[in-house]
Amino acid sequence: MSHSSNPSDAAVGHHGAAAAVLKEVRPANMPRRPIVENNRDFAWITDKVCGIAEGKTPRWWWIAFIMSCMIASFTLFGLIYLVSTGVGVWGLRSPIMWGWAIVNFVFWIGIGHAGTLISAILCLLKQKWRTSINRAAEAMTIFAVACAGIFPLFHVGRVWFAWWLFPIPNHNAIWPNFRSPLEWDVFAVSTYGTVSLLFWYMGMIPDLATMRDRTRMVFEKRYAEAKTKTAQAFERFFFTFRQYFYGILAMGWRGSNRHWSNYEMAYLLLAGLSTPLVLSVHTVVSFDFAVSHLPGWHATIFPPYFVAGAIFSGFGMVLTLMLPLRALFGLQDLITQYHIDCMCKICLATGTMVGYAYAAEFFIAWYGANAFEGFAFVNRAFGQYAWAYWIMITCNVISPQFFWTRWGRENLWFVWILSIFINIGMWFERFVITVTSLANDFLPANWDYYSPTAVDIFTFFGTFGLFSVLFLLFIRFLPLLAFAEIKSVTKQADAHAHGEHH
Amino acid sequence: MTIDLNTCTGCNACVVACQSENNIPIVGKDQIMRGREMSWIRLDRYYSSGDPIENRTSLPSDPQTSLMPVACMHCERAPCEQVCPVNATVHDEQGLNVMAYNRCVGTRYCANNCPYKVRRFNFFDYNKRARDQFYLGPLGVNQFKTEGGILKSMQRNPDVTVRMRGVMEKCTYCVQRIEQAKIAQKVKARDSNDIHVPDGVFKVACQAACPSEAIVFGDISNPESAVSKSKANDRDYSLLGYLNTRPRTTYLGRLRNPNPQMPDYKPDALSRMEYKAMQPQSL
Repeated sequence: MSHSSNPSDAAVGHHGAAAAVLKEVRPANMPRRPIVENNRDFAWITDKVCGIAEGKTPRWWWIAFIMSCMIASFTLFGLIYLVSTGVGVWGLRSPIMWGWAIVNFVFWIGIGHAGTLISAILCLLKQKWRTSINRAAEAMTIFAVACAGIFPLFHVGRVWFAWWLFPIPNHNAIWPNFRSPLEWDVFAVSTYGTVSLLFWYMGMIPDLATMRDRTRMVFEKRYAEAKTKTAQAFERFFFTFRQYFYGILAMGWRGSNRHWSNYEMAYLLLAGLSTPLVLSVHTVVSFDFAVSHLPGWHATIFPPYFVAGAIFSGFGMVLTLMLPLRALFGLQDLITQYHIDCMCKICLATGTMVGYAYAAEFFIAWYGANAFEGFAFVNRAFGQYAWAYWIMITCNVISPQFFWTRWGRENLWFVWILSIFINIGMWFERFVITVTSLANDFLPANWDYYSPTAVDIFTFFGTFGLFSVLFLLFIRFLPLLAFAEIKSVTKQADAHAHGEHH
Repeated sequence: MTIDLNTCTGCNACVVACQSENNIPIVGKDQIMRGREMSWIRLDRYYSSGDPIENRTSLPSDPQTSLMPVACMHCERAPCEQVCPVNATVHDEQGLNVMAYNRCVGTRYCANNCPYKVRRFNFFDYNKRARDQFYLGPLGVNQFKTEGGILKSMQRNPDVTVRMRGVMEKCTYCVQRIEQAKIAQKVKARDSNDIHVPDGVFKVACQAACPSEAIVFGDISNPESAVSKSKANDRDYSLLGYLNTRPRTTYLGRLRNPNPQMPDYKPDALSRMEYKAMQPQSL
């Protein structure tokens, strides 16, 4: 605590007990946990973040990259088999016409929610802690949307005609059906993907320019280190590539006052544009279910419930990714315990909202007194898919409750394991919603039990490989943290800092 | 269409007739076990012991069977039509719920949203591949190019499309027969302009095959047609009518007249009259 809170006491003392109104109110300086710890300066931050992409490729990166490529090939082969042979290679059956593909789609789209939430909504809410995690979270968003997009595209029976969902003139000479929630999905997801990509890229321009400007310096160092002619030739080739790569991507950024002013305005505008998108995408995805009239799908609670679930799973995934990266690259001063606390608390809040939604669904199913609806929910919890339901409840409702305690948020292995539980739970949530409602609907004569085939499983598993491939490339070539923004929230950047510097 | 559950004996003739009329592929035991039968009309069986409490807790040892042939209801407010993103299933001007195979991309949303689950999906190239080669895809033999396959394709009804994989299909109310009747009437009408197809000049496949004449099909806009008269019967009801899908196929409820002297007689409601008498008056 500084002395800045003292003058008010002094004022009271001076006028004695008679002074009921203070002449001047000076609010106490509320100590906040610093966003950048150990008083790191600008140069350190730049070196640290740029160093991740500029240093020699670590061995673990190559191992991880090759393994991810191999895992991603499962998706590739799964899709080749699917498209060449037919959707029957999946476990779908009447009446469960949507299975893992739609579950995986909603799962990945949900994960892709944290990025834009952090960049847009937290930006508008002036949450400064977002700067350390927004870049990686946005990258995660884009890669997750890419993984998500695979499933609705390839789950259709004739993927070569999937472009008919777009309002492009085709030989059938008809418009798509604008009443269909799947049609809304096409627009919602593609808009979200595009805006997220733009937002991510635009936010990166100042950092890319820094990396461009550092290329020569790094090259000279690396060239001096190269021992053989071949190594030198390689460095020359690689750094020429890097020079152009960052040069083109930086779009001539010079860091002038005008550039910054335009940049900040554009950032604010994009944040404003993306904010409704964060809410709308998963709302529209939930309409795929809510607009149908299947018991267990046809529910007005779906949009808020899906959005809360999406943010929950998104932050779960951010934790899953950022905790290892923080340890690997020694980013503890930039991604501090305070950041982890904030993310854990968001997981706790949204996880509890999701738990409330589960309870509300049951209440409404009972209160609505609709026999089909009532059955759908009792069946969900105690029917043939009860195992999935209780995995969901355990992972989504119970596991985040550990974040109430300081111990639960500060024990990072524990946080990491819980974040994986959150991911598992959110996948099961989508499974429970999609499959249990379809498997036991109106007429008992139609009921059946769905289980996936090996092709289902490998295709889904492979998308984690694809995600990792993209994320590893991102780590290697692009600035992992938004260091220009981080600098703006350091103590040094705060010209009007209260406290010590009076 | 109306289906009289009182006269239906569950003989399955309608199922077979539909299969041959509409070129429905025979998918084999393996695919049936995987829940992928293609029948456009199916026969639902429900077993009960006449004791509602026992029905809930155990499988009856000496069951009574309730039968219900179910095909596409051609709902006036069809849930399938609204959700198709590519307009592949729509209403035509005569009120049929038609399926445009060429527009279908196979999202299967229509099947999910159909409360009767009467839509069938071509998970594989059921017509192009032999039954043991569905999973081989393009590595399998193209049946359209083998001698046996050509022979088989000669058995097909030339008036009905043979569907490829990836598209949804369902009962069309034998639209080919309706159109043939309309064309024949137009030819017959010539200058008289009397193009109204008289009631009963044609039958749909299931109707023609039904030995107990449980299925009646016709023009419901004509109050004198057999189907309109059948719908006027007070046994007429809509399956899942509460969903307000307004199905065009309705059922005539099954009546039973159990003899109290018989040993298996149960006092519980099994007929509509008894059931109705048991309901609270507010309903």
